[in-house]
Amino acid sequence: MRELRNTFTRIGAFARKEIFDVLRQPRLLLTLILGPFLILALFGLGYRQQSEPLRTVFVTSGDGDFTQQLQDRANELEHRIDILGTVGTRAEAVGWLRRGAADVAVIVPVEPIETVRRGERAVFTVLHDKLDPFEQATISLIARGTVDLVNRRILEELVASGQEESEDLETLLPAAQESATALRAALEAGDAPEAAKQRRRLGTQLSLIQQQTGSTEVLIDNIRDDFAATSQHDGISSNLATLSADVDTIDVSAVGQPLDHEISEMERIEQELAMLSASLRDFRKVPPDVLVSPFGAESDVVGATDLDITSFYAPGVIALLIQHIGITFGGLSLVRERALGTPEVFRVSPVHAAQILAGKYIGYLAAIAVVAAALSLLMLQAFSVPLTGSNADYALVLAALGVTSIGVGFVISAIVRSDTQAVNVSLIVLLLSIFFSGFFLSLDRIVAWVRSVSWALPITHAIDSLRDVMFRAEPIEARTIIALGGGSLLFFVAGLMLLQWRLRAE
Amino acid sequence: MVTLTSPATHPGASPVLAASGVEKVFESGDGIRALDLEVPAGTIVGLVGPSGSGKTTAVRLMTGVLEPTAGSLRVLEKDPRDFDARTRLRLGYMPQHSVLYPNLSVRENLMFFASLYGAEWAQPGALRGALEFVELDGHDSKRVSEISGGMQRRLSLAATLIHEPELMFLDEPTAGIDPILRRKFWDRFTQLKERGKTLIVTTQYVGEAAYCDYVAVLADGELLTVETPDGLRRAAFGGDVVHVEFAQRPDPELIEQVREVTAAGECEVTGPRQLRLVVDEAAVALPALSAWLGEHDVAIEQAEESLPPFDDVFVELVSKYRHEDPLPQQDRMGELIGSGQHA
Repeated sequence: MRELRNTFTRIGAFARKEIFDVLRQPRLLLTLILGPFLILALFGLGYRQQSEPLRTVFVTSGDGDFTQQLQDRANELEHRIDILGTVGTRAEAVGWLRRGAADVAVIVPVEPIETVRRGERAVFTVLHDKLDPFEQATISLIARGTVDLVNRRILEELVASGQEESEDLETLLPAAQESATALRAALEAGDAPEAAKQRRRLGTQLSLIQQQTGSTEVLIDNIRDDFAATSQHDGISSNLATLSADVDTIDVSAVGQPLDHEISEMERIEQELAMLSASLRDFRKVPPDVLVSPFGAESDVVGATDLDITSFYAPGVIALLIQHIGITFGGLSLVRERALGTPEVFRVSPVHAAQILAGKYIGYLAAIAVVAAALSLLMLQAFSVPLTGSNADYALVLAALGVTSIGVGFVISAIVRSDTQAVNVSLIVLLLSIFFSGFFLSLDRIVAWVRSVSWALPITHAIDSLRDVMFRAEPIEARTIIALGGGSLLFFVAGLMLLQWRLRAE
Repeated sequence: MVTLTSPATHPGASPVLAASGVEKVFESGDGIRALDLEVPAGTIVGLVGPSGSGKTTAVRLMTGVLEPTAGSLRVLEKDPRDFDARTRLRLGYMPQHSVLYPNLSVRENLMFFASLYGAEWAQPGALRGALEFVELDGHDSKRVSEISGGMQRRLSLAATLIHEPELMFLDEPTAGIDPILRRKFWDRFTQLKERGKTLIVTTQYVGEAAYCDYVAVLADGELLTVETPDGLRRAAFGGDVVHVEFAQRPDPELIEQVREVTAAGECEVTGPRQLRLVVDEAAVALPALSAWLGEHDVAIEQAEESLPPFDDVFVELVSKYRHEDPLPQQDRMGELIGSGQHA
């Protein structure tokens, strides 16, 4: 009983000592709380989810009209590109880039229209001087998107023009339908002159309709590239040719003889014309942009709240901070004890290594709890970072991460020889965590075998779980509990063994 | 084996510390060799020697911080390597360097070290008593980083004593502090001894040997001798030193007669009228000399026992060991110390 009381007295002594030691350094506490908060605030305020428009200069050596049209169309993309002007040579454009006067230079292909008419693609070349692979990818993406958009705009204008030109068909087709009906009626009535008249009239009307659609043939071909499978125009074009041929086969001279075949043929022609009329109405009714880009895409995250960039990074920042404090506290702790020479006193005293560690764990956890609570409160209140799940789960994940991190720190502390080494190793762990924990880069972008390194880091589980708890209102997963709980135990035992070894060895 | 005695030791009682042939040699070749010593309870034993002589190594062996490479060591009837918690509660250890936490206050530091021994830190009486003992009451809320080096040493001492250990190992407790404070420390050590505690104290201040019951002199990792402070002087000079100053210049015949009367082992003319004699016992030689001088009507200015400072004693001992004595240790100790209380 007495020994048990002594055990708690010793653990309490170490816990109090560490708490007092941290509290006696208010600037350290303030730095731990305000530092990350200010960093996140600066990041939230300063980071643009939308990149600045690319300052763009065009390089053109020929078709001035085309370049002007291109610029006019590109001006629609003012949120993506900011057109500075036109230069004549690639060298001039490179000069702009080198001076930092432009972000990108677009080299317009020579004779672009003629190239397209030859059935070849006219390729725009985009020059830039960015070294950052992310910036390079962004420029490539914007360039491709811009060219796609310009292509679509051109097609939309062509389609709109075609729709406008097809306005006459709306009067021609009903008239042709009337002529076909009159022709059938004349055939049924055995009125040969009327039948001949209506057949001529229908033939003329179909010729006009063919001509009309023929003028939009280019448009139809352009549209077919994008939506051939759904286009009604393909049917219109071929049907008109067929109908003209069919009308020509109607033999009006056979009036007075059995005409069942001709009458039934005329009924079919009437139906075809009605269908063509309906199809044309549909074609004219559909907006050009829908005809050019019939399919759109929207995405929605399932079971989570919409997040801004600050909110998304908040769990990672808190987790990284907790880990870093834990590792730094633990990492410096035993090193500083050794620098003071206290292990020699501990060895002579009845205190056990487990009591030393347990006391330090409690002390540091208390300090971490204060920092985590203050930081969480600031983030939840000041940045309105959502916490949709259980507060207890949130606290549990942070506590487990804290315990594991202190354990990692103790292991580091027992291995290294000086403060500087401890800090260096802590920074390496921080760097490892930033790159591989999913804080900064999605784990999906990491190859499978390296991803195992990510999941070996306790912080990866913590960040993943915090995001689930905060943004999806999901409970802590069993694997997180196993990873953080197992990690805590593993590092405690490792730290204890190393401390015992150190106490014996010194 | 050097067996010491103490008034506090009961006949047949086990010594609190017994070392036999204890050796600890580091890779560098430094360390301590053939440490033989028995310390009874209720004594102050000073380990005196120059820097690097092995004092701290000896203390670390005795406290179990280091393991001996040879020999047998028992402290409180236990091998220091196997100290259990109960035995450790009976020990107090003040390392050579400060082990206080600079960001904690005087009181908090004391509470911490008290708690290591399971002492009731919450009892204000015990803390106050310890602070008063080292005259730090009134400074208890000051941070250690804000108090002087001397106050830090006193606090270290209080931290060592707070749980009232039976056996204390104090490694250079007076290093770097002023003579007045050093004197106070030794007064405290004497008080503790009078309360039945045993103290093993290392020091570089040879003069502090005078406060010890026994002084163990170490040099180059060797235990040269263990003696009482008076015995140490005798060991250094081969006996008591007597200084004689004649009224007139003595002739050689008179000098030889004085030497014979006092049975002096050494006789050195130190001035025109001065003689320095090394005698077996000054208490015997001086009365004999006085009587002879009276009978022969020889006038003298002064005849008294000379007490050379311990610095001289220490230098003499170490010089003899290093340069003048090629004999094995046991023989050397016999020569240096005489037959005294040595086993």
